[in-house]
Amino acid sequence: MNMETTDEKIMTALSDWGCDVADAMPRFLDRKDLYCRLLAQVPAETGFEALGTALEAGDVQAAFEQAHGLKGVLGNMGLTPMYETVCRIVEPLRAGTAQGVEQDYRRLMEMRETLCRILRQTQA
Amino acid sequence: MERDLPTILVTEDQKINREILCHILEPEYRVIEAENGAQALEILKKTPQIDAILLDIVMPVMDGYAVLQNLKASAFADIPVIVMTGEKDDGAEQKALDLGAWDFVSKPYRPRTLLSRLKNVIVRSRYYLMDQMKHAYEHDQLTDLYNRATFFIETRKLLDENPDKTFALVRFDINHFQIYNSFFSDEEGDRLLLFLADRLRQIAQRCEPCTYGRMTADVFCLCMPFNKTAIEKYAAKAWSELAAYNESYHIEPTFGIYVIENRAEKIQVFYDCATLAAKSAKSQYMTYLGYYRPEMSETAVAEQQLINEVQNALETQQFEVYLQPKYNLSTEQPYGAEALIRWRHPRRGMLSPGVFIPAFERNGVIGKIDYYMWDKVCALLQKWQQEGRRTGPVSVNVSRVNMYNPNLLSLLLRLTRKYQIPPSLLPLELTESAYMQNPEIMSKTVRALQSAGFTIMMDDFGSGYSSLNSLKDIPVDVLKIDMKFLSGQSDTARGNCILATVIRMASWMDTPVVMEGVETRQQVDFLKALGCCYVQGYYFAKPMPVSDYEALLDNSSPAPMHLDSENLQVLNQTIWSANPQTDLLFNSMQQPAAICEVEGDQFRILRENPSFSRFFGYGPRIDSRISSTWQERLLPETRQVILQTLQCAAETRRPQQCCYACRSREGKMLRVRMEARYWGKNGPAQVLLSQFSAAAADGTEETNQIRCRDGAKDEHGNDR
Repeated sequence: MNMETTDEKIMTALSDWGCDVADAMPRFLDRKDLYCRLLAQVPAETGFEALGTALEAGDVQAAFEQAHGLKGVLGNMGLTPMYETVCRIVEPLRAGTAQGVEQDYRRLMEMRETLCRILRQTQA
Repeated sequence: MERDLPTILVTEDQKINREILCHILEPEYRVIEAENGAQALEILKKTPQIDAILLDIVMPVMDGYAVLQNLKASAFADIPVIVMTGEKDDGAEQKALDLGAWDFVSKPYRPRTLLSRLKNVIVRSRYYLMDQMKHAYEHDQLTDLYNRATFFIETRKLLDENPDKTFALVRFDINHFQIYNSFFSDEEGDRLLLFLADRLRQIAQRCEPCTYGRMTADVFCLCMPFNKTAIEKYAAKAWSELAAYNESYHIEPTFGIYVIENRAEKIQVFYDCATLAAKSAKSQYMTYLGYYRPEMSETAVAEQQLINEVQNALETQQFEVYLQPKYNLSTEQPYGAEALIRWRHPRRGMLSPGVFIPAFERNGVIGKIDYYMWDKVCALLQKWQQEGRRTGPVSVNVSRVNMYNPNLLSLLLRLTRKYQIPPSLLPLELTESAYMQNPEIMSKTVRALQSAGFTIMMDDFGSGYSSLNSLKDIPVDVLKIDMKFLSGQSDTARGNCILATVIRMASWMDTPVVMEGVETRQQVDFLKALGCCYVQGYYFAKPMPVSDYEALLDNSSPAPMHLDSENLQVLNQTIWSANPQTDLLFNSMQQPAAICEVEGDQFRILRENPSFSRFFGYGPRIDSRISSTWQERLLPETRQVILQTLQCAAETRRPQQCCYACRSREGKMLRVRMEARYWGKNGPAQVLLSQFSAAAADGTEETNQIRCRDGAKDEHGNDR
C-alpha cells in the first residue's frame, strides 16, 4: 500500500465516500493525474457561493443557472453524493421555486467541505 | 498538422467542463472555446472554418437557444450543432432540435457517444454541403430552375429516353428586359424573373415529359413534346398575363420555337435555332411568336458579322453624319436638318441605315451609335456657330434603348455643355412606337428633356397605333409624318382627307408638323394648301454630306420671317447663344420682357422671359408658341399701336411707350403699359426689347396711346 500514489489515494477516498469514479474515468482518458488536477479546482468553483447569494436574494432564475452549472461539473467529475444533492436543488428551481432547497444547499456546502478534507488529507 | 484537423467550437460556461471536453476532443479535433453564446457568435464571424459546434444550453449572457436562433438566420446556418443537455432535460432536447440542432448529448459526458455523434454530424454536413454544391452547380441561383448546362444535359436525356416523340424547344424572353431593369431597379427585375420561373413550372407540369430552365438573364427554355395548339395557347396566355403584370410598363415576351428534327445534333444547335426564331419574331411588329425557318440562319450570320464590326467602325470613325435639310414651305428655303447615319464600310462601301440599324437595335449596340451621332452633330453645331453661320436646328434620333436610359438627360446635357450649344439647336426625334408603348414613363422623360430646353419631335407619327386623341396627354413639340402614311390607302382622296385632318388637329394643339418623304411638286402644293409648315424629302433635297449641306446654307437666302416657331428659334439663337449670361439675365428679369422684331408692317416676339409668360397668363414655362398666339389675342387697332410703338422706337432709337388693353390667355382683361427700346439690327429687321407693366386701372393712362419717352410728341394710334 505504500506504493499508492496521491492520486490513487484520492480516488480510493472518493470511492469510499460513494463517488462513481470508475464511470467518470473515460472522460479523462483514464488519466488519474488529469482527473485529480481538475478535481482540485472543484471546491474553488464560484458557483457554490453564487448559488447561496442567489438563494438569499430570492432570485430563482440566477439560482437555477448556478445550480445547473454545478450539476454539469459535479456530474462530469463523478462526485455522486454532491451530484445527487445538486440535482435535488436544480429540479425545484427549474420549476420556478426555491422551496425546500435551503436544506440541500447547506448539505451541498458541507459536502464541499468533505471534498476539501479528502484533498487535504490525501495530500498530507 | 493542426490545420488539417476539423475544428470544433465548444460553447460552455463551466471552465472545468470545457477542459474536460478539450481533453476528450483534442486528439482528433482542433478545439476553440467560448464561454457563452455571444462569444461563440463572435468567434464564428472571425474563424473561417468551423466544422461543428458543441453547445451548452444554460449559459450566462446568451444561452444555447438564442445561439441556435441566431445561427439559423446567419451565414453559419449549415454548421452542425450538437447540444449538450442534462440527463433529465428532455424538453430541452426537443426544443433544441426544433431550433435546428443536429443532435444532442447528455451530461455527464459519455466520451465515446460524444465522439461518434460528433463524427456523424460532420460527415452528414459534408454530404449536405456537397449536395448543396451539386445543386448550386446545376441550378440557377435566382429561380432555382436548371441552368443552361443542366438543361442541355437533361434535354439530351429526355430526347434519348423518348425516341418516338417529336419535341419542340421553346425559348422565350422579355423584350428589352434591360430597360425594365434599369427603370424599375434590379430587384423588380428579379421579381419579374421569379414570376416567369413560377409560371414556367406550372406550365411544365402539364407538358410532361419535358425539361425546362433559365438560360441566362431573361431567357428561359422549355423542351416539350411538340403540340402546336398547346404551345400557342400557353404563349398567348403568358402574353396577356405579362401585359397585366405592371400597370405602368407593357411587358412583352417573345417566343421562338424550334421543332427538333435531327435529334443527333447538339442541344446548343436547337437552342440557337429557337433563338433565331425569336429574333425574327421580335423584328416583326406586334408578333410575339415565331417558328424557325432555315433561311433565318443565313440572315443571322450576316447580322452577326455587322455587329462584330461595330466597335472597330466606331473607333475608326467609319460612321458619317449625313444631313437632310428640312424646308420651310412658305419660303421654300432650307431650315435646319435631320442628321442621318451612313456607314462608310471598308469593304462593302457606303451602307444605308436600313442595312444595319435594325440589327443594331435588336442587339442593343444602337445606344452607342446614337451617342456617337449626337456627339458629331453637337460638334458640327458648335463649329457653325463659331464660323458665324446661321444654321437651323439639326435633329438627331433617339432610339428606344436610350429613351429608357435613366441617364439620357444628363448624357445629352453633358454634350450640349461640352460643345456650348443651346439644347434647342438639337431637337430629339423619338419613334412613336417606342413612345406609345409606355406613355406614362415616356412622358416623364420627355417633360424633363423639354424643361432642359430640348425640342421633342415624334418621328413616324401615324405608323404605330397611337390615336390623335392620345396626343393631347403627351408632351410633344413637333410631329413628323411620313408621306407613306397615306400610301396604304387605296383611295388617294381618302388618304388626303386623313392627312388634312391630322395636320389641322395638330395645329389646334399648336403642334407643328414636318412632312417627310415629300417627293413631288404635287405633294408640295397639296401640303401648302393644308397649311403644313415644314417638309423634308427628295423633292427638295436628299440626305447629303456635311460639306454639301454647308454649301447649300451658303447659297440659300436667309429665310424671311414667317410666323412659325422654329424660325423664331433660329433668330433667338443668333441673338442669344453668343452670350449665355445675357440669356440668364433676361430670363431672371423680374419685369415681363420680350425681344421683338419688326420688319415692314410685321412684328413678332422672338423671345420672352418667364415673367412675360406669367403676365399674359401662359404659366411659367417658356413656350415657343406664345409669340404667335399672343399676337392673335390683340384687336387690330391694338396691334397697330404696338407696331407703331416698335417702329417709332426703331426709327428714333429712343425708348417709346404705349398703353393698350388686351385679354390674357385665360380671358382676363389686362391694361398694359409697354416700353420698347431699340436693340439692334438682324438682317433687314430691327430688334427691340419691350418691357411690360400693368397700367393704372383708374383710366388715368389712356388706352391705345403712344408716347415718346422724351415727351416731345404724343400720338394717337392712326398716323405718325
